[in-house]
Amino acid sequence: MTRRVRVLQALLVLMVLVALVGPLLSPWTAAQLDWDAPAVGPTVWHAHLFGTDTLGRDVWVRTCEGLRVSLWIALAATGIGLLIGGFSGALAGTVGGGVDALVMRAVDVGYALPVVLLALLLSVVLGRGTGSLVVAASTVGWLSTARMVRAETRRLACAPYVLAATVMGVGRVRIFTRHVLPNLLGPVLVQATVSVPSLVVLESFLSFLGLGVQEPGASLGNLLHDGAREMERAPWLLIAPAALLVTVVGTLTALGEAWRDRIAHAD
Amino acid sequence: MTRHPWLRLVAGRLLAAIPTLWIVVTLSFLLVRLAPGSPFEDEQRLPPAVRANLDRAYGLDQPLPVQYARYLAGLVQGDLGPSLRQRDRRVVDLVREGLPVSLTLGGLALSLSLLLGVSGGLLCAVARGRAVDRWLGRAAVLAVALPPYVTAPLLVLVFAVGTGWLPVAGWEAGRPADLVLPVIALALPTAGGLMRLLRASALDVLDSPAILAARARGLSARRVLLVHVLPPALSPVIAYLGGAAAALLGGSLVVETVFGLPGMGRFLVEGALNRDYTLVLGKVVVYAVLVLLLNLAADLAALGVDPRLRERVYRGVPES
Repeated sequence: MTRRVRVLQALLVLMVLVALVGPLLSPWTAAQLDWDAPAVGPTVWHAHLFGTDTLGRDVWVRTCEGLRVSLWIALAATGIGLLIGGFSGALAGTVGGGVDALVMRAVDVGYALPVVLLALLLSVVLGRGTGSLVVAASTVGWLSTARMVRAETRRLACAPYVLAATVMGVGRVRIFTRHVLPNLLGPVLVQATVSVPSLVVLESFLSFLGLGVQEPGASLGNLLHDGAREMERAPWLLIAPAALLVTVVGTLTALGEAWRDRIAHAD
Repeated sequence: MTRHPWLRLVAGRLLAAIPTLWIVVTLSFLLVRLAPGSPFEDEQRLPPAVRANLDRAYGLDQPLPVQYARYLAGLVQGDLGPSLRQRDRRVVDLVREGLPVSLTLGGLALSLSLLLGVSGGLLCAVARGRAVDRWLGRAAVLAVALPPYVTAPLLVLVFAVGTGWLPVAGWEAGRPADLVLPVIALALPTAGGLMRLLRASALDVLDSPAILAARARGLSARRVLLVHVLPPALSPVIAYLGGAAAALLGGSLVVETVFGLPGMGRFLVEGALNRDYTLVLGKVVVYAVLVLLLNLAADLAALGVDPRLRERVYRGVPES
């Protein structure tokens, strides 16, 4: 493990800690209004180290809260996307024929729209809010997973040991569970590490547009939205969530690549 | 036909796009219509008779299959129906107003990211492992991690609010200064992605025996780079462009919102929130057509650059 990877992993742990215990470091809570201090910049006064927003809520606490919500949504959506995508991809890859055509057509349709529009459409149906955000993000994650798992399943179906197992009369189910499934785990894990940062971005994208997490809830996206609206008066509202989003996405992306390389070299 | 296999390819791909498009339209129609709520619900409480009249005027009193058939019939004739929330506006006109702005923004951003990505990636590949390569590599990771809605406000903060060099937001037709910040904000993530892609593919080509041979023949470094390294290294970049263009379209939605540009994204989010069915549907359809066309264009460009791909298509070897 190189120093770079170790630094990145430490950074990731730090981010998770900030998201989980960050709010405890401040006397304020995310929804609490400080009537004496609306829209003050970073100060030690009243312990608003990162300032307050226009309603007097503590920026540090809300940003930590937002990070936690964003990460949680990205993780949940990644999990759901991987499950559904993995299942449908494996089904398409092993059964083939009509099922395969159906799944792949669905994936093509999904890819015919920019991700944001797909999510926008879904949030029209499901209404605004965290739940529909998770559904939209999982749908997006599902697409790439299904495509990748299908390709991988088909590649594995031609592997010599699978052919050997077939010749020896091993059943299809057993071949799948014993020979194909374990080999799918690696690529699926890699997919997950790629998916989490991109879904953090998607979440903040939709919340930024007002389609995701709603006030008084916080996520990196709607904090950025507030920050962008108030940037002339209170730039600290923009800078805190922006810095956190970039750090988190950058760290996760770089780590995902490092892990992918490691798995690729292990093969 | 045999003399122009690419013609058959284009025709085939366009034909294959029609069912995909139809499914997109049908699904979007169903999704939008299955959503609870109505476009006229949150206005001041309407008397039932007025509400019934509105529904009748827009054909919303018909059974869903009839509405669907009407919509498809209109679509085939290039009519996307009336906007339900913008009084007296047709969706086609709204699209016609917004599309040039969005295409200008997207086109410029794509050009800028190609310029930055290709030159930066090539520079990195040549300076492999040196400080330039490392720092540009870090900049690229940063650029990829910076979504346009983060860069856009930050750029405004520095260059418009702080220094006053460029307008904060707004759009006066033909004023290039309005486009500088939006284009940069939109182009950066794509530029970073392209740069990393080109660096990797250029390194592959640099290590190939063909380059060794070119150098052995005494060709100048510049000639080797531009004639022997760049074209083959570009082919994965071009394959990536279709997806990148789609991502730019999505990103332009946000950039337009932040900078108040009257593009395709205008009214779209509002439309989604206040159930302007026809507006959302119409714009989704236009975006889908654009994505399909851009992907086709990218595939054709890839064929144009890479003789190996051309060979495969001409011989009829199936892809992948």
